[in-house]
Amino acid sequence: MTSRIEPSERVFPQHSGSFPGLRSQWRSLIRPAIAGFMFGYIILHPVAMVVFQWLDPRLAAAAGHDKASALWGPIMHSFHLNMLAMGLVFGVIGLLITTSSACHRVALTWQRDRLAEELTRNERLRNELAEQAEMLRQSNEDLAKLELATRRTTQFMAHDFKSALGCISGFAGQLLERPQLGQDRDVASALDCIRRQAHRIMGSVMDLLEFARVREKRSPRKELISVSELFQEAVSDFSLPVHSERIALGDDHCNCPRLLADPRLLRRVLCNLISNAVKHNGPDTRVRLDSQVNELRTEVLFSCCDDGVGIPPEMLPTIFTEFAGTDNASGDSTGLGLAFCKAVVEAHGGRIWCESTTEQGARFFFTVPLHKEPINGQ
Amino acid sequence: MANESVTGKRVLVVEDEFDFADLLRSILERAGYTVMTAYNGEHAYSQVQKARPDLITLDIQMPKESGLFFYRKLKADEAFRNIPVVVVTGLTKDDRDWENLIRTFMEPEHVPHPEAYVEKPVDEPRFLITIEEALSCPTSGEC
Repeated sequence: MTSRIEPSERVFPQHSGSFPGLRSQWRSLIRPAIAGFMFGYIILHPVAMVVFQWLDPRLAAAAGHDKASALWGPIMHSFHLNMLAMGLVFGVIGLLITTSSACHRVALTWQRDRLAEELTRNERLRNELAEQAEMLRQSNEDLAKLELATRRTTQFMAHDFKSALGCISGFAGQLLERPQLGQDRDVASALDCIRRQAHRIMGSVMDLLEFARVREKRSPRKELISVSELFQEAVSDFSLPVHSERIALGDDHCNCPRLLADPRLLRRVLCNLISNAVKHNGPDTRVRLDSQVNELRTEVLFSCCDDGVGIPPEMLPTIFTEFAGTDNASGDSTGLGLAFCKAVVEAHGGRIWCESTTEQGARFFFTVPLHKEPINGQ
Repeated sequence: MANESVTGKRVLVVEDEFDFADLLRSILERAGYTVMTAYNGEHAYSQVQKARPDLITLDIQMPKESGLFFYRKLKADEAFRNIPVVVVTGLTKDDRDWENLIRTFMEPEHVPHPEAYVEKPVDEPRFLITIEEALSCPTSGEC
């Protein structure tokens, strides 16, 4: 449909010859050269003689035609044999003038042709560009339709998942509260597992939805939140694979001021970090959460540390990339958890990173900037 | 488990998912409410006309007549305008679809917002607190 433009062609347009004019059209210069010579010899030379006579009386004397007119005498004299050299000089002058003029004309013609060629080529490129722009626009439209369809499908599925998983975890929770069932440890454990797994899948569905939302560059719905409440809600989240007793909270978070942030997104970030720690190190892993304000009081630094096996140094640069951890042996990961955390933290204007030493656990840190202006008088 | 202050209060659960409706019914009945169920907007409106509930929990995305159509009809009816409504939906409050729905259905006709929004899956204790608050302090009435 469209021809491909080579880069060299774009930068250095190719033309037919570097300067073809004089080489190919030298014949066209012969006539102006002869005409120029004749003009110099026949016209310029006698005219010059007339002028010289008028200027130099000795020349008039040399002409020696007292009876001839002041005009006719020098003209006739200019064609005398002893004036041949002078005639030739004027002829050559005429030749040079007309030849250079002809050369100039040839060069102009060549340039005109080159410009016409360039204009034709530009026109063709413009047409190709317009075609490609149209194709791109069409592709963008198709992509937007596809994205909309995907989003609607995802939301439709998420809606169904939410209802179904809500039923599973809700009924499991209700059964757990029945004394006759709760006393049977196996039944209670199975029901607890059902409820936990339902919440875990729910968490993954929410990750997918929230990740898509954050990636759409939609700004988080911020409100003033208490860091302590945020931690409490995170550690008591049903989706966590461990009970809250395995998660320790540091002391510094109590001194943190209220944050302007999206509480649901930050809770998912904390839940994901805790889940990751437990998922990769086993249920006996101890996780410690804390947060503190920096010295300049411009941001709050959150930390989530575990005492597990740590993360190999070669994996550290890519752990926040989508689907970076999907090839792990457990197969228990959507590959979006940490990418989601990064997207959320960055959407809040913060940073996230990980420090780890093999066999000494992993330490995840992220920051959330503190708002500068007091909000609602707080 | 049952709370005496809510005993006898009638709640209409409008939800197209039978199982989820059963879950809400179970949660509410254990808390002491009397529960009726409807599986679409039309059915819900006939239920309301038959026996006026004290509160309605309403799903948005339903076949036949969506929850918001029902909600608009309810708020347009003088007799039922003051019934508090708690929307229980699978839509996330930040979704674009959610915003579009609100913009399309609520804002042009200045329909008052429901008493509360609850996202599925419901957290039982929080859900019950929301229901109690909506009953004790409806947006349309006085606390």
